[in-house]
Amino acid sequence: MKYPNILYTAVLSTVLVVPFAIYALAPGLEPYPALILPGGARGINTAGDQMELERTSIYGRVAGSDAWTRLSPPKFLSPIPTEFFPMLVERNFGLSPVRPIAIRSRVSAVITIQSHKVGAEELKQAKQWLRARLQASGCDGNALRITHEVVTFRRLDGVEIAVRSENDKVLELR
Amino acid sequence: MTRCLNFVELSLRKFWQKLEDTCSNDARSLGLFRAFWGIYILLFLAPYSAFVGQVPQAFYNPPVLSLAFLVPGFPPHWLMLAADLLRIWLVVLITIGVETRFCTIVLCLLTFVCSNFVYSFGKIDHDILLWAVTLCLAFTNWGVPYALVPDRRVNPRTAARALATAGMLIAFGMFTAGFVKALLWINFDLSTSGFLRWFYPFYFLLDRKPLLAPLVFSAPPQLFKILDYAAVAFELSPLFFLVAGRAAWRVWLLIATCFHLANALVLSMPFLHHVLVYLPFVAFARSFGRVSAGLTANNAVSWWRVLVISSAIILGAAHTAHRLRGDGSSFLFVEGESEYVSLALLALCAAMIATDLIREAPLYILKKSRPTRRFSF
Repeated sequence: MKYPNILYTAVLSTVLVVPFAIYALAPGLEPYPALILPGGARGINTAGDQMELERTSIYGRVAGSDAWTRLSPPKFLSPIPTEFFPMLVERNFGLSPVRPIAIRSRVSAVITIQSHKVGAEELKQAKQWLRARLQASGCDGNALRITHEVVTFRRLDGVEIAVRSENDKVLELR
Repeated sequence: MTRCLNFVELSLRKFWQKLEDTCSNDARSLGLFRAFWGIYILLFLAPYSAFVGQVPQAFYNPPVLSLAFLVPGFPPHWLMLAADLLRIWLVVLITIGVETRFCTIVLCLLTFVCSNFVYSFGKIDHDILLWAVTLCLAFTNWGVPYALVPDRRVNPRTAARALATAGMLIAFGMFTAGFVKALLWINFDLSTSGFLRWFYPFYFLLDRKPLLAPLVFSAPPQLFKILDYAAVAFELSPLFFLVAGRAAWRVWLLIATCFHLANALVLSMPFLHHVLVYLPFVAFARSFGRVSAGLTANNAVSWWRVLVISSAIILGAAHTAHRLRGDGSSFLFVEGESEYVSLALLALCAAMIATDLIREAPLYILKKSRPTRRFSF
């Protein structure tokens, strides 16, 4: 081979740079496997004595009562790792109607891809799984509440000052 | 055109030669590292993906540009369990040194496939660097010394190129993280902080209470802007250290380990498994006084090898029993990671790199005084 180093470098660069370029232009299209390490999010505002942090919580209805109790995502999901919780909640644990995935790129183009269809049998299986998890947590198995909350903390000691619910929804599991 | 190509080829040859000089390590050190790698994987990162076969198919949301997108759903539990058991025993074989090269390649490829399904809940975890570097090690002589069934030796140039590629992968991986951070964190707005964007949610929402968290509360938030700049500089810099030579590269590896140690102490985010990414560049053999041992001594029976072999087999059998019972975890047979174990391992890694740097210092000075190599076609 006459130019082994050119060939080696070209192949290695393609394997490394192309997936990263795709990710940099449209993070939603991040390929796998690809050598990409976590970058981080936009900085948080550090001014003032208070700060607002967003969290997603799940609640189960206490068996035999109308009260809701907050569930611990790691316990509820186990053995699914907790880091997947936000994405599962975003898709209502696969219970919402499947729409094509619209991936917005950094160059204003929107790429639409048909996602995997969830059939009636798969829906039933998911509801059954969620019901079993709720019952194991001592809750009524028929409803799961998902709440997007904005929590206000005192910066100095982390005391929770207020919780504001946004986008509250209840998944019927019957 | 030919002259231009020749020039590019020559430049790239010099570049790769420089990287090979920087990253090369002796086979005995890699053999010792292999034993450490295997026991580490079996203790702290044991293959576990069988759980995806037990979750509802409605959760299936694979990355669009991946092999898993071509498949209609999570594979059946028995298939993922079989893949886990196969991977566990491949790790055992690598640890004790049986057909290491073949086992390493199969293990890495299988891990990419299994991880693809684990990352089909809508999020990709970024642990790929470890397996990419391990795949590079398959093309070195890490399966030759201290092995029950040693591999055939590869050409020293191939081994050096494989380690240089591993170094390049680390530099590129860090660049991908630093590039995104640079876009988001590098500004002159002192009222925002990228570091605190990690710290506050971990501390308040996820209840992670790292050992040095009180220090964060007592410091003015604006001070953390400096950490933002430092993190970006650290992540964008490894290529310069790689090109600068052996001493510089090991200095960067030491800084990287200290960076992870500081993250573990302040953020509870240790990136523990990077220990296995940095240590292949450390001359273990020198630290253990094995550089002068003859080639025949490599595979002689010794107490520590008996200990490694028996530990690997016991751990492999324990994981098998654990998986067949329907349980499973990656870290020490329990869910989650221990903060103290992470701190101890990162401190050990930093000590190993620092020792190597100090012991090799006279060699760096000698090398500096040697004339540089010349290339010609």
